[in-house]
Parts: sequence; structure tokens; C-alpha cells
Amino acid sequence: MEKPQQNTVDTGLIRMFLSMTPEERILANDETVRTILELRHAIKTQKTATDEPERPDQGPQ
Amino acid sequence: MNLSALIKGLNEAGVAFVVVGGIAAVAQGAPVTTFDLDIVHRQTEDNVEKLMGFLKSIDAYARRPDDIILKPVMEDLKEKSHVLLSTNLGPLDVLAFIEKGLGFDELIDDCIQIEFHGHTVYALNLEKMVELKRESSAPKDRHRLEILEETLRASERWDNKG
Repeated sequence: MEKPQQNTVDTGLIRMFLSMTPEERILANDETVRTILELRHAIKTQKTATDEPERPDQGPQ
Repeated sequence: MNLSALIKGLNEAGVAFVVVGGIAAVAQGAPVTTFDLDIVHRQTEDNVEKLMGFLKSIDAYARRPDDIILKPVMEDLKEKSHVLLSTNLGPLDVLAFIEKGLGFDELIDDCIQIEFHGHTVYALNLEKMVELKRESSAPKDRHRLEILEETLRASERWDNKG
């Protein structure tokens, strides 16, 4: 298997993007942003749930 | 958030603008992710009116560190300034100019044309972006410059391959 180039920039990723049309690239950015925002929201929700003190009436039965 | 819809909406509103910044880089193959759309608009009376109408339709207001809601007004879009907005389609930066004070009329000849959702979109080309970023000392620009330069080299090789 070909070793990735020891570059600071991922040239494989660039090749992948160059194979797409400009429209596809912008749509891909939108999808990526949506995914990142979903993940951030999930982390925030999880953190809020963890930080909330357990209420006595909701504890394990 | 839907930056594609922002571009589409600007076109459908008949606004004359060029895309700069992250989305222009993304459109030309740079492997970066960006959370806002940066545009430089033509500052004619007619164009500013069209832009203002579009901004109203997407509930644009100034992006600020506090909770005060300030809607943009025509004068903001006519000034030589940057108007950073939140909209219901995502963040939109409306710039009168970019580096070296370059505005719409100076940038349009350094743009590529992209067919996007049935419209022609003008985006600042990679060569110009690299040229402008080379003169910047901001850490963010230095980091992005490496990616843009590599993308430019790769796209030239890609074009030569046919």
C-alpha cells in the first residue's frame, strides 16, 4: 500500500475534492458543517445531562 | 444552516456579488470546512437595494457578542465596511472589500465562474487568494495558505492531466 506523503497538507483529500464539481464540493461542506453541528449539540446535551444533579424522585428504584 | 441556500437565494434575488473566503476555497477543491459565507457585493444603489431585500427575507441581524438584535440598514451596505450577519440560513459576512481594499469591481476579473443550482456564481480564484494570503501575517491565513498553495498545485496537475 502506498504510504501517505509526509506533507502537512492532505494531498489525497485534495485529489478527492478535485474529482468533484464545485457544486458538489459546496454541498459536501454543508453536509460536513451539519454533521459537526449535530456532534457539538450531542456533546452539549450529554454534558448538560451529566452535569445535572440527580433529583431524588428520579433516582434508581 | 444551509450555505448553499444562501448562495442560491442571493442569486435568485439578483444580487451581484463575488464569493470569497472559505467557500470560494472549498468550491475550488481546498479540503477545508467553513461555517460562514463571505461575499463582496457591488455597491451600487440598485444592488444594495436587492441585497437589503434578500437580507430582510432571511431575518438577518448583526452578529454580536451580546444579545442585542440589530438589523442591517441600507447605509451599512453602502459603507466601506464589513457587515457580519446571522441569518436563518447561516452566518453571512457582507464585505465591502477584502485585503488591499479590493472591492467587487477590482475582484471580478480574478474570479472563476461556477454553475450552481442553475445560476452562475463568481468566486475569487485560487491564484488571487494565494497572492493575497501570502502578504498576510495572521496565523489563520498562514495555515490556510499552505492548503491553498497545495490545492493550486494539485489543480494545475489535475487540469494538465485533462
